[in-house]
Amino acid sequence: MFEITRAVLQTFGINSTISANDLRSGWRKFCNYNPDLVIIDWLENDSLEDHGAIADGLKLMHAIRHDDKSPNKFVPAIMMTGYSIKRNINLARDYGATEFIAKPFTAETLYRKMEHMIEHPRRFVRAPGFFGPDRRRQEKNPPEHDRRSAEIAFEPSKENI
Amino acid sequence: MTNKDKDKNMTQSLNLDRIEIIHPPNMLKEKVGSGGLDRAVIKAAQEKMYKNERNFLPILEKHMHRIENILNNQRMSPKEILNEICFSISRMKAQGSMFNYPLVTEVSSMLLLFLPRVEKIDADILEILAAYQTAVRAIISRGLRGEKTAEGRGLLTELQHACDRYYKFRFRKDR
Repeated sequence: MFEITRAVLQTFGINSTISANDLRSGWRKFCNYNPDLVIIDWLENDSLEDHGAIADGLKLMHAIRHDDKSPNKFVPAIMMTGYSIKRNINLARDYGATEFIAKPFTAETLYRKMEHMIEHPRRFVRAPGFFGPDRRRQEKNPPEHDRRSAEIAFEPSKENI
Repeated sequence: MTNKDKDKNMTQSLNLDRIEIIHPPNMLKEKVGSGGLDRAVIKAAQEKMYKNERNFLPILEKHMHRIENILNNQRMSPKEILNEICFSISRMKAQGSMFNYPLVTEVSSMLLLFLPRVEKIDADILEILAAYQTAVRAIISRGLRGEKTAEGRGLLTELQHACDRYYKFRFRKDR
């Protein structure tokens, strides 16, 4: 997924990209390089045995927003996943994602998300139990490309999150 | 009670003085400016995505093997098996279109609408899962890109009929 995303970003003119394959290296590179934009692939645990673990992507998102060592807690962050059920979208939002992309996505979708973050950056909210981008849209009508209904009927058990 | 009093009561009940609104600087915009990209650039980016076919095949094989291993796992309950299979199918659904195999996405979506309603794994379900795997392998091996090939639609229709037959049979059996 990184290669395909990088190819798209390079075509957009973004030539400096850094990748990481797991939570630990992702966090280390985020702290070292302090990127302008973060794209996180929701890394559900593939193991059949380790159920109940918080997805690595959510852990990274949380660290970016909350850890004292985070070089930029306000960095725009896109969370992408193939599990586009409402609960996951809400989780991504609650853990501090700025935007959410459901896979499969097109180059245009990624572009529109980035454009929206640039032209309509979210304000941040610090409240008891939450810090991150304002979870409400400021404009009354969200962009057309962002309106979607539930994609799949499948609701995984807690163990798959 | 005046409107001012109502606002004050609401503020106190929401404890808004514990909420801080922050407007961080827009560093992205400072770096990239405004104006957006040409449509041609976005189209070129999409073409690059379609050319990444060679990266899709290992992902596909990994999840197909995973499904086979899950079905052979005798320690798991039917519900766990179905959840894990749906997990793999959802991965293939997510990736298919991105690598210009929208039929893989479509046939996976079909299974994801069907499987959560299944209560037990029997010979009919195994047959449907086998049909799904056959369909996906056929799509890849025959290079059925795009959605409009007659052969591709034929595979989808066949799988849909298998799912429909399952429900019609179950409905008659349970009456």
